[in-house]
Amino acid sequence: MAGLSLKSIYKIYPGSEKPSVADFNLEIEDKEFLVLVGPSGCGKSTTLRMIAGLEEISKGELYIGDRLVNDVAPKDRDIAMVFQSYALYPHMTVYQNMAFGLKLRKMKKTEIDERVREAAKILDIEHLLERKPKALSGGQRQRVALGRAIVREPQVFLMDEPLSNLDAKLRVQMRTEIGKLHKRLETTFIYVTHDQTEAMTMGTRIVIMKDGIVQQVDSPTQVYHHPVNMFVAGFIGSPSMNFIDGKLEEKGKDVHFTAEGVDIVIPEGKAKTLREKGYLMKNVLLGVRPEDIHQEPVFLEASPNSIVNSHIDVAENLGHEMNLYLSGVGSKILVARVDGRANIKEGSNIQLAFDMNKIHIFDKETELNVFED
Amino acid sequence: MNWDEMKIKLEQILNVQIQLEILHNIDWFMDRNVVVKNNRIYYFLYFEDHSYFTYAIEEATLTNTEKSLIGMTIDANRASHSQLAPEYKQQTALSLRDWIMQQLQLDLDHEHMPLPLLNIPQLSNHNIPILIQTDIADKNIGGDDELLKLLESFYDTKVIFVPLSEKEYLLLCSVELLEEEIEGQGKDLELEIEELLVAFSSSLHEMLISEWVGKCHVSVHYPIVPSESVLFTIKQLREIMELGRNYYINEYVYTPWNLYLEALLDVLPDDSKKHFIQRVFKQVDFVFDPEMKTTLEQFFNTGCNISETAKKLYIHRNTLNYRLDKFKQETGLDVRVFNQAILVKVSLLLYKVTNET
Repeated sequence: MAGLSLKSIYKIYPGSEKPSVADFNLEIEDKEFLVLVGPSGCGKSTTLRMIAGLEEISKGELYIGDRLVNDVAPKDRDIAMVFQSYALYPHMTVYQNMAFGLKLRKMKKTEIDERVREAAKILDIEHLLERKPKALSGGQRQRVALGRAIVREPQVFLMDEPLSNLDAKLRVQMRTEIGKLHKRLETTFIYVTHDQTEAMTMGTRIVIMKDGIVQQVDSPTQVYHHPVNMFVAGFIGSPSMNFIDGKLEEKGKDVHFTAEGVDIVIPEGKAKTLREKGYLMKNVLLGVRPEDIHQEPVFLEASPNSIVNSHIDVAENLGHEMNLYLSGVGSKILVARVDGRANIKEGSNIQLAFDMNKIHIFDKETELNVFED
Repeated sequence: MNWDEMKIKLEQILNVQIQLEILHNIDWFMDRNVVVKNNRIYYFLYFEDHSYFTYAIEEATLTNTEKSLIGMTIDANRASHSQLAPEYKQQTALSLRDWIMQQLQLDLDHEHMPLPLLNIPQLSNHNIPILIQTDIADKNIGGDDELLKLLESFYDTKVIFVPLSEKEYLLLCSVELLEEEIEGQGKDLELEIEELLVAFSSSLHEMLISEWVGKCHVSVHYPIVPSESVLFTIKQLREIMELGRNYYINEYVYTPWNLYLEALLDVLPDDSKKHFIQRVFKQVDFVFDPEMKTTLEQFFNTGCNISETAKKLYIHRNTLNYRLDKFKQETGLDVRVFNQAILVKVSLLLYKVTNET
């Protein structure tokens, strides 16, 4: 088992001026489950492939444990990889698929057998060992791919969108299984996904990337509730955070946020920070998550200073909750997530209130979260 | 049985004298295994270091039946040699490499194999042709021997491995591998073969990156008989490889049936490609942002199916429709309309190859 250390790692492809990954610094602890997440093209897979040794590191140093591995071949890095394609060896049985890597390493037959059967037991695929991949379902194939990695007993597991080819139900199931596997194996896992739900539910820490640059590294809870910038705030959470373009003004003792159809009071604690940082009379962006916008009468009564009036353009009822697409608050469509049982009609007007303790204010130029700076 | 042992046995049985002769710079064996010259009969055994190893016997000492029986015995021994002796197989692969490189340098791609190579039974049967390319120099990857051993472990020796250069390798895998996996029950056979070829080449790629070199690229073609068309196939595999590497920089396994459109577009001059994009989008500086590019690619991959695309992108179908509306607003092209979808699909491909490579 080992931790990893990435020191100022860059990936610059020949002929490209802009690095695909720039100045990536991170200490990954032994036994950690780290998730790299970000939109397509953000550099997360490239980072993982550099750790795996499948892409050359243009600049910087990569350590696995205490060993500098920049120039070490993938097979000698003591890692195991599971990819989206999980291409099993079609001409081999499940047993042979799992044993192949060990056979190459000239391990004793008895030890290979022991490891394969142990991994099969963990993954509940003992009854499939004599089958060939074509006779397996998608979920079973995914388990075999995991088994092939487990038997190697590597220092680090690398997984690149391993669940993408599974249907939604299986994905949820395998998500839990991989989580359990991590706890059982007590090994470092590095997992790449563009699915924020996977990132939030699986990772002990999440690295959010954009355009090759790390935006934030933190626990799922911290990232969700304390995003450092607009990108992170907008990327994590579904539906994503609403951003309202407006201005901060001092009215009497209070600090107000005003925008088209909006005049709400900022709570004193947050107002103090805004005053101290010189944001009064400045244009800013207010961020509020859909679930922090309420329509319940009790909440409206308790929050007279954060009420907005809007028009329901679309109401999507998902059963347990309802997403409302609203106009009249700021210049863009606002999304609110309310109780699925609420008596709400599309095309009608509605009064809503923001939970002001959970709002965020972002600098318009730097896009940084003023409260997290 | 080795050739010396066989010589002794034949001499004992037939009561004749057999010479083991090495011939250089001759073309006697271009199309046959047995040649009579100057009253001596020469039986071709094997080819090594540009030399023909033969048994030479005085013709008059043999009856016609004995001549035929000796020929059959030698053929059988040669066939078992090519299956059992790795060093023999490796030597043959190098001879094959020399012949291939010679022909390709002369730009000949329809020549038939000369006889010494035809004596390897696998080359006259159907094989899956696979080309492997790596950007990593040979010195870092343990040489050809290591790769050969790896491939033989992987395919259980049903493979001919030809190092074409330091970074390019041809693999000829016995089609038996494929036949064992074909189910054929109610399935379109061509489609099933294509799926299996993808499965084989993807698994080979995954094995190579884990156990050999790291990053590498693999192209595969439909099964061929190497003795008839290996040269032309290598050219095709190289073309597929180049197309795949240019148009799909994040993919590593390429097949001809997934690159038909790319192959057609690739013959256009660069200027025409750029003009096409400009004409379609009516803006000189049109740029696909990464999110839009991924959305469109996924939309085309799912056969323009809104629900499937939304599912694959983990977004609500309303969000997808919003993105497609936004694209329509910016470009005037609605990808939900067939004719306009074609224009955008082609432009997207051309955009990739003119702006991203």
